[in-house]
Amino acid sequence: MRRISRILLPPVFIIAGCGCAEAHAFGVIYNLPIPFWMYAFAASATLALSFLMIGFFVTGQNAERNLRPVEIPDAMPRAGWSILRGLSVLLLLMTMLSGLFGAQRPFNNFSLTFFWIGCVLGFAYLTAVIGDVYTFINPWRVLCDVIERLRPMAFYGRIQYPAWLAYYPALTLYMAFIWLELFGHTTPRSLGLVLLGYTMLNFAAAALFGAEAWFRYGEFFAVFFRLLGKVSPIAYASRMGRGSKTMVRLRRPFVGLLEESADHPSILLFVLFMLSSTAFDGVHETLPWVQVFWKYVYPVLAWAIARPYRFFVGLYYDWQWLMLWLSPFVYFMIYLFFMQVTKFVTGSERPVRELALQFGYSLVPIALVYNISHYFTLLFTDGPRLLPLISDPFGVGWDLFGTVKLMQQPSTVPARIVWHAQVGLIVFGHLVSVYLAHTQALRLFPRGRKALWSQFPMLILMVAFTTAGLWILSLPIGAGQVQDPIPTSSALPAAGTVGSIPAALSANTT
Amino acid sequence: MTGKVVAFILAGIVVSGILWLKFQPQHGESIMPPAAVAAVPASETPSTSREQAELSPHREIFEIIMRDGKVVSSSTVLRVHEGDEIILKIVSDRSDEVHLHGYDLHADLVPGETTTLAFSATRTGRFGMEMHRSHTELGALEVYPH
Repeated sequence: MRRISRILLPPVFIIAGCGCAEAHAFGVIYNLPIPFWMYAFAASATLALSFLMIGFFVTGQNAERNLRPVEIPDAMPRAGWSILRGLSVLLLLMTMLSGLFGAQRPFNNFSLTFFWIGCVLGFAYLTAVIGDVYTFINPWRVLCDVIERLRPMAFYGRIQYPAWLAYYPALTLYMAFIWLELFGHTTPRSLGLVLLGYTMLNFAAAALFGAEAWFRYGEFFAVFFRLLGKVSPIAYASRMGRGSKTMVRLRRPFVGLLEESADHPSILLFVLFMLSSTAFDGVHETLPWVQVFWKYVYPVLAWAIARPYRFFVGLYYDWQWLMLWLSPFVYFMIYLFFMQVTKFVTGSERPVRELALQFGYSLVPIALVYNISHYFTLLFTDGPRLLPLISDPFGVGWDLFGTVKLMQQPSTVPARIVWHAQVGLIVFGHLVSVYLAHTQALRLFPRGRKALWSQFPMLILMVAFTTAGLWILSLPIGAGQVQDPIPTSSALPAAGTVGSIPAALSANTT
Repeated sequence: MTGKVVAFILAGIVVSGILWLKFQPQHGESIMPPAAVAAVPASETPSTSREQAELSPHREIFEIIMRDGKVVSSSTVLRVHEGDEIILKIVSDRSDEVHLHGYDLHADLVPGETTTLAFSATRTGRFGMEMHRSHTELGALEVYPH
């Protein structure tokens, strides 16, 4: 969520390209790269602890016992859900209205902070703790239910949801959403419009395919929170008896990921995109990554096509977007390769597709801790602003709850705490993932040498993902340190001055 | 099973502890990465002059010069240690407002005059500096813990 995109642009472009948004940068992460020694420590600890774990639990025949949940019927009364459902719709409307009609300075408007910090980060992490509440309080679903009460059969579904579509709509929307997060430079108004558009899309799709199918496969927040909810020790009974009391199931944390396996490759891509989009966000402003384009790709292109420098600057954006969207497929290829190896070393009869689905959810903890370690500081730096903002959501000088004066001082998290939390979380999440994959492997290959051999491909893959994640966190951030690829003098109006500046920066701040 | 888990956790702590001690930097080694990560061409004269002031050992003085709304600086990442006294001098030929994130410091720039931001680097992290009106990013202040 680095709102600022630091890229190598000649200053000419800066002047041409900016001046559109409010000057305050929103959602800027203040994290320093983790020190190299800490990266080296964490990478070796990851490797050592992974093998230690396999060594200890390789014959863990009792893994299944951990799955036995405790059931509490009637734990959540109907009124409780009703209040939450009402609140959920209210907050959606508040976000849209304050975005569309409120002050457009990001920090004076409820919408951006609540949506990006409160929902996308805060509620996601909360879901990992309290379980998938979102299924019950999904504001768009609630609105559909309300409309259905007035117009029965409105969301019954005109056509059957095509099986081949699977989770691809959710994946596509998720990819568009991450693009918006990283490159969209959302203003309160544009966020309001996007949410309005998404609301319309949900209504249309639910009317077409039926609410049940759409909110299971198409609404990406539902898919996202459902995956995170599996991490939680709390599960809620399905919507079968909607309106009646809900049964709560208690289980050990993370084992929800083993209760069912992925049901389609598209959800695997979704999980892998959770991981790869965070990795991409981490890497796309770092020095080595920026250099890939400007040092290696750009000279070749410039040699091949005679276009002005600014053309390549535009191309650089396209390149970044392409890399973001390709990232889950690259991860998918790597994943499938390791599944092929698993099949080979175990001599399994099962097709690779089935193995891939069986192991897919074991990657969720890695994706989750990676996301947390990237973004959690925002909860402390930007999150407290919600307190004054609820009193004055439109930024027009209200003080509804008397909290407007609170949290005026900027808050930051000390770098040492950030580093330790990042490294600790990543190693912890990695171990959880290794344990889940290990348990799954023992289920599929219960006995003999197969059980032992089946462990390693997944283990190596996870060590690779985790080490790559740690490495990204240790990379220097690129601003102002990369040599400007000197443009040809005819290409730019102000080439003389540009050429003498080794590095230039752009701040497309929101 | 429980015994195994406890044994694993204990063994894990021992292994991690050994690795931690092994990798931890020796006393006195700086946590700050080396300054020259990709390079300013040697022929260029850096216009961000960074000089140690004589008065106090922990005072860092930086100078940023802007021309035509552009940074005329070689390195725009200023690396300091926690607790350092920072003096940031900015000279610009345009009027604008400079903003240092995290510390939330603002200062008006008057064309041709030197604007000085003096503060103590109490917060660690990486903080962007930007021009509020032209939306130009000046660079970043990286404050490393000791």
